[in-house]
Amino acid sequence: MIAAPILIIFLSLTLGATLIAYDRLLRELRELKTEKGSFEESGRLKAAKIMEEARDKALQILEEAKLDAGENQQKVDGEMERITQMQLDNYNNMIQKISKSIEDEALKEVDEFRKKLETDAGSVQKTVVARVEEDYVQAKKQIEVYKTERMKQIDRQILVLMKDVGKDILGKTMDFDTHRELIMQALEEARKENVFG
Amino acid sequence: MSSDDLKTLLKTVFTRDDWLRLRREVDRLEESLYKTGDEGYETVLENDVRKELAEIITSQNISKDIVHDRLREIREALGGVHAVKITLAAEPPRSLVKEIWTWVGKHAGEEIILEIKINPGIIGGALIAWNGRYADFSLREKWEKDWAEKGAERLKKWEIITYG
Repeated sequence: MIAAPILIIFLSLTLGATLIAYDRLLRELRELKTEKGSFEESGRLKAAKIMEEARDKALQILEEAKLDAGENQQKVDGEMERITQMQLDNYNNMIQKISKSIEDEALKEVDEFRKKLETDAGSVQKTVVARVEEDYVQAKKQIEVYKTERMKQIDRQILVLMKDVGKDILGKTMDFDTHRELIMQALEEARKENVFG
Repeated sequence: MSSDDLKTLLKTVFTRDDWLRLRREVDRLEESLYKTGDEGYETVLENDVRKELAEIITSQNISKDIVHDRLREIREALGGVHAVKITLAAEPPRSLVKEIWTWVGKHAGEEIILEIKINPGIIGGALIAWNGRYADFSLREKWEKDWAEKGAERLKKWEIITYG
């Protein structure tokens, strides 16, 4: 019988210990809940802070990115200019080389052409001169023939014309008596015009 | 020596050539006055001067000083002769020269000689220049006047073509 009280005591003790443990657990649970809320709040705050920091950082990065972009643009522009100038220089050099090449080629061809002309000119000139001389002689002969015929024709016409005019002026052909008559007539006219006066 | 003698002598001088020949004869006579031989006065008088000149000089038996004076007179007379310049188309015979000289002398009223030039280009008639007066009575002049009036018509008539 002894055992029952002991058991009861024991059970009471056990119960008490359980209750204590339970109470402590409840307190811990409350603490944990409180701590959880605090932790959550803290977490929110921290998250907000992190977010804010992240945003600031992002903005900073963006600003930096903008600055970098400006610098980069300048660099790019400079580089582009350099490359452009380099290409332009290359292009100019290439053009000069091409021009020089073309000039050299043209001069060479001209020189060859000139040499060929000089070579050919002699024979061509001889041919042309011979042909011209031949034509000239032929033309000269024709002209001479024509001239002779024409002069004969004109002479005939002039003789007739002179005779015609002479007859109109003198009324007769010229002989010594006519000459004498004309001279004496001239003297008489001179006298009338007081040449001897 | 009378003036008639001089006139007779000058009647042998029709042209400038006659005048020059007479001047040379006078000069030659004068030069010969004091020479002898072939160059002497008598030889020159007999052989080298015209009859009319010789007759004037020897018409009387005169001294050389008088001959000298007469030659001077003749030279002076020649110096007083005036030249009528006349251009003819052909060389005139001597008879025509004399006829012209006589005619001109008569109307000019002075002792004259003819300075004759020949230019066939005048065709006929004469060009006359006297005492600064000049006249063209050549056939060429008449011809040119006629030609100016009727030339184109004549050319057309005879179909003489001109080339420009």
